[in-house]
Amino acid sequence: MPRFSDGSLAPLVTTDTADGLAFRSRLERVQANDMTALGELFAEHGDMVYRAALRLTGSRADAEDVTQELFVRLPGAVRGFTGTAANFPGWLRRVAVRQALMHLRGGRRRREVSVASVSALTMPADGALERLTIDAALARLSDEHRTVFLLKEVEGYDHAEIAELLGISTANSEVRLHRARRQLRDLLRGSR
Amino acid sequence: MMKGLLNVLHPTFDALSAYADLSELDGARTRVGRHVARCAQCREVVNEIRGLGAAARESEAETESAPDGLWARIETAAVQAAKEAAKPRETPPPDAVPWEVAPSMRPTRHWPIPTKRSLARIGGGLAVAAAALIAVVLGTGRTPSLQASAPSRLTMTPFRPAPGSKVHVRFNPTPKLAGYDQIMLVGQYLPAAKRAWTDFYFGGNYDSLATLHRAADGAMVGDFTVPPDFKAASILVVDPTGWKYDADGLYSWILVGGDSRGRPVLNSLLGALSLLVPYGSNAHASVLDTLQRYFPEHPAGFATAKRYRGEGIFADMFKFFQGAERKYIAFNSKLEKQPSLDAGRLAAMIDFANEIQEPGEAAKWTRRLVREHPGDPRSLPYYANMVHQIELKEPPADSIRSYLPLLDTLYELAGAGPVRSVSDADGLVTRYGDPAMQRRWILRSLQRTEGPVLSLDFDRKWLTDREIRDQATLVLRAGLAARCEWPPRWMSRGSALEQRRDRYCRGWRAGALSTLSGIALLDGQTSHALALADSGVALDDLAGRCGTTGGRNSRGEALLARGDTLAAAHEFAFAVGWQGSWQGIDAHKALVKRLGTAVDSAKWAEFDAEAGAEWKRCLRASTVRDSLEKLSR
Repeated sequence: MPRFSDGSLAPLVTTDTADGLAFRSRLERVQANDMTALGELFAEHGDMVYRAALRLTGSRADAEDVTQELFVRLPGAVRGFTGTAANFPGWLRRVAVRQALMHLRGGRRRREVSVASVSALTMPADGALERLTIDAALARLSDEHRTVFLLKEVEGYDHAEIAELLGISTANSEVRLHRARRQLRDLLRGSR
Repeated sequence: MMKGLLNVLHPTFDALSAYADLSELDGARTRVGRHVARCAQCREVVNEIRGLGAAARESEAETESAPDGLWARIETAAVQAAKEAAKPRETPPPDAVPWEVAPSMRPTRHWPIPTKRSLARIGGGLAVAAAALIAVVLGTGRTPSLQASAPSRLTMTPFRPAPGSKVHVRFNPTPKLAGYDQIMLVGQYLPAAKRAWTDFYFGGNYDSLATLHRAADGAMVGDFTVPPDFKAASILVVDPTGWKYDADGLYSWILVGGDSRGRPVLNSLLGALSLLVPYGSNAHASVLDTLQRYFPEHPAGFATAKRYRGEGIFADMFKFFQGAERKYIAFNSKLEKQPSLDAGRLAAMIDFANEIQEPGEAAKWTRRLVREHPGDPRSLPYYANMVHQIELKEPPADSIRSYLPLLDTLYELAGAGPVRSVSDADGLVTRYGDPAMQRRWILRSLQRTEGPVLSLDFDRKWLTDREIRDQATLVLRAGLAARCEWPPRWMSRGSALEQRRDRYCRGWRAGALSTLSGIALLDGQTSHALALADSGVALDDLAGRCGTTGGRNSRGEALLARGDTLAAAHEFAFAVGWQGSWQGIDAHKALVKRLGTAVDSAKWAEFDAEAGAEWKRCLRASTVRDSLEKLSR
């Protein structure tokens, strides 16, 4: 049992720390459309959101769109966030994943050369060093397979959650994961 | 004996993949787990499977950060969204002028589609719904009143210019553009000019259309003339540096052409919808609205209307009775009976069926499009997409192969012009085509390139084919000779944004030089290959890009071909770069194995240390450079 310096017992009820209060205050400012507060959140978490979107969409332009859509809607969305500062990045990442999936489903993808395919194409030409990176190999998968692989392996969702996110059955999610892995392995081995 | 038995009874890859997801404890209890414990070969597969996930997680930390300009875009959009949310909807006074010149802010009547939430609302408000329904039933039969918002800050007169006509522009600048005496109206016409790989969002191929000068009343005004074949244009207003811009919400303004009397033209609207209008934007809504009102018999106005949001409980409730499926069925029963249909209607019905997630219906209309209009450029992409939908059901590969010959036919019938959106077809050929077909499609991909090409979108093993190699060389050389389209033509020189984009151009060019170096090596031109690789490395250095591997690898290969193993090892060590990653370690092992005893471990250690130091130096320099560029903005 924690005690204060005078020996009295510290209360068991947890209270917000100064950091927690500052975080809450920032969220309230975001809700009130305070661009400075939103900018602070972007500075802290923008890269994480962008990277998550980039991996799922495989395209810089799409990742920018997803990041933009997420942060533009964030003032409204944070009303639904009831966790602490420590939970916020995880929550935001889940929102980013959902936003990216909506973007993929919505058919709003830009016609452009994808980031990953760019890196794949600028890989060396021949010889033992002509190897694909995991990103380049992922870029060669279909959207369906890449999405399931990333959701399972990087985002840490289980098959039931993936099935719900993508509107597919759990069995289908498992099959897509196996196929994605097999294709990735073939691609990476084939490039050796 | 045991080994032989194990070979016969190896679990399938899928079983090993499922096992890889289990914990050690859970996995050990399974049949596969017991097999893996005894079989080194399967253990290796399981380790590789687990390594894929680990590599993907590890690799994310290495991916790039959000681009510098993104926050500026988000801030603009967020401020706009906040304003829109706070603004009460208003109806302009009858004498408001000029009302009709704001395409995206025209009164809109969105075709409604119900959402799950709206259905829930319906359940909660049945009594009110009944009253409202009665009111509708007993109403005068008038069409619903049009909701309206304030006039746009960008107005164009005439609102629907005829081809070749003059357009007067009037822009009430937002605060961020209010300080300039002149600003630029930039745009892109449909059909778009050849679009380069550099084309992206608001950069790329936007040309200056008019310079807007300040009028006495504070507005910015100017004129421009649309081309004789005008259909539609995507429009933005930018400051003279190209850094600040104003747009229609998140996307560009869209100007759609009309006839000589200012009436909407179907082809212009369809063109704007298919190429220029971002999905879900104000402009998208506006074009759909016009299509619905002026061409209600054409499914295109309804095919992609699902994304509209409801405006409230009553609107949502009524929308239930006009669901997308009902509308689709209405079109379906009407159009299905007609012995022949134009390609535009068929394409719209495919979109419509896809929109309501009925792939079987989409396949029905796709077959009809292919049968009735095999030469239409849309037939190939829609057909390929149909086959891809079948592929997703994971049928036997042979059944997919039976669809492939028609891809060839459709490609040939589409004519000599570039066939757009063939990525699905390319993918199918890559996955299921025989080598002859794959080769044919690679050559086609090289022949249908639009704009400068600096990278190749096929496996490098095909470069051993002489014809492909020659064609690739031509394409890449043309790409290197072409002007880099970044920064956009209207942007002022010397801006920080330009420097950033210029670096990116150099990076692409370095990639092309590296590929050409590989080709030269295949042609036996070692010195030429080395010179090309040198140029690639020099461009990469100029671009300040850290850890790029292409040029270094090419130089290593050329040096190795020349017999200079030690120098080659030095280059390869730089190409492998950071060894802390899964790929780095693996690649390094492959290198050591490949070069054998020609390079001892002390030399490798020396090269690796040098490469590591260079990597860190480059990262430090790029961090300083990026910071300075941010400050200079």
